[in-house]
Amino acid sequence: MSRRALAGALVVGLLVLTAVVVVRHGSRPATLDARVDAVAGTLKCPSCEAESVSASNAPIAQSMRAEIRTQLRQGRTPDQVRAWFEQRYGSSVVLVPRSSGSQLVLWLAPFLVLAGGAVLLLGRRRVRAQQAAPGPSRGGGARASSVSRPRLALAAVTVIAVGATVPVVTRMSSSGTPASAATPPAGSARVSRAAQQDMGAGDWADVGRSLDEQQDYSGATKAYRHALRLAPGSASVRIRLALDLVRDHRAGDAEPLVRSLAGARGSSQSAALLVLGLAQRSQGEPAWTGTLRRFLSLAPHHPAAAQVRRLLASRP
Amino acid sequence: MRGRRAAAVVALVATAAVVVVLMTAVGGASSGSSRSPIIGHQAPALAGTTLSGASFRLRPSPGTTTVVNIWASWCGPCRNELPMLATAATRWARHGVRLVTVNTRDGPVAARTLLKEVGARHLLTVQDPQGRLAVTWGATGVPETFVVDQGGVVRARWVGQLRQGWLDSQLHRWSAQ
Repeated sequence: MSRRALAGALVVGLLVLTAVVVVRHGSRPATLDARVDAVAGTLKCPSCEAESVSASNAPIAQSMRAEIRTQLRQGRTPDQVRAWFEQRYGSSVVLVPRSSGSQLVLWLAPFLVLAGGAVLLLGRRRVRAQQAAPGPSRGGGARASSVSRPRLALAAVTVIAVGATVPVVTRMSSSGTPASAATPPAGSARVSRAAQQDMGAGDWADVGRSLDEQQDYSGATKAYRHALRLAPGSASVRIRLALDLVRDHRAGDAEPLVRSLAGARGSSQSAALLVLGLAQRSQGEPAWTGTLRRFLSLAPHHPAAAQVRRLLASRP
Repeated sequence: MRGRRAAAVVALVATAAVVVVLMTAVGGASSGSSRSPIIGHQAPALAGTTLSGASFRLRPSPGTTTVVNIWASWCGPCRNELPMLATAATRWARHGVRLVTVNTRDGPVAARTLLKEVGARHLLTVQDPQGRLAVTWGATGVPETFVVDQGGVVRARWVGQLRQGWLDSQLHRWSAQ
């Protein structure tokens, strides 16, 4: 009887855990909106009482959703996004257990203690019942208790071990990376394929600007190229791409992108002249001084004008 | 029996203590000096377009301490503290302190109107229409104020309407005066 009960409990436990694994894998959201919502549901709104970022309409929650969207578009995993928020808001902002470290232990500890306690309590009650049984069956009961105690302990340990291991394996396999990886791969404008399908030129330009802010110029150039492919006439994207190519030490590729814009009258001409001048300077072309002087004559109050004047004044 | 009662009382007191500690730790942020995970670390990125249309990027500058204030025109305490911030920006400028404000989840017209109204048009204000800069700084709402030292390390944070005494004491401590 005791063997059957133990085996049954173990099988049920494993089935439940397997179901959890299958549901978690099967329920991975497909669209970007759903993925944003899924991550937002695992973060606590820092200005609310017990509300997730997904459920809250507080301004800060809306801002956090915008940030989640941008980061997912950049190809970051949910764990990386959560780690980014944790760096800024502390561990209490995360509503799900991390797949490693003391936090996981904290999350699992109550369940493990309950499971282990329940198993031991049941075992103890069984043993007492057998010891209280009358004469002829007493010997059998004692034998049964001597056999069942180690088994019960083993069962408790097994449940605890399986319970602790499965969530770790699940989270590791669903994210593909450890939870501690807080930054995207070097030079990444690697946006996941699912997200790429939803993205227009403006979205790619947003990704480029975001990578610019992180000084990931190589990644930003990739994002701007995507944007330019979708909107070849966008002068602002063309200029930003050229500027990042200069910053990424690829001035030779930048020059052809802005040469025509620099020669044509229009609102983008001054910015194009600035980038063209910087590209020429990077390549050691003597024409750079003339180009930047033209830039100054067109836009004497441009935010970069003072720096350009210093550059021209300090040339050898 | 007595032992059991004593044990129950001890357990109750211990539970109450844990609850109080937890409530203190996770409780909502009221006005005041506040810990933040970014304190003691390099300041997060702060780049964008200012209300005057210029580009701005926060960079550590030797001899310069930076105060970063996050605000919005729809926020009452922000309106109240802006005049004091404007005065402080002028008063501390000669001691190498620069004030950068971040206008978050707001519109440039509303922001400019308020700055003009309170005599704070000279404040350098970076636009943050989606609130991403505020989130990057770990802000939980508006207004919030951070002090960044000359090495670009975040040193202090104030949540809620700013008090001049706190700002002055922080700037005395971290500026190159």
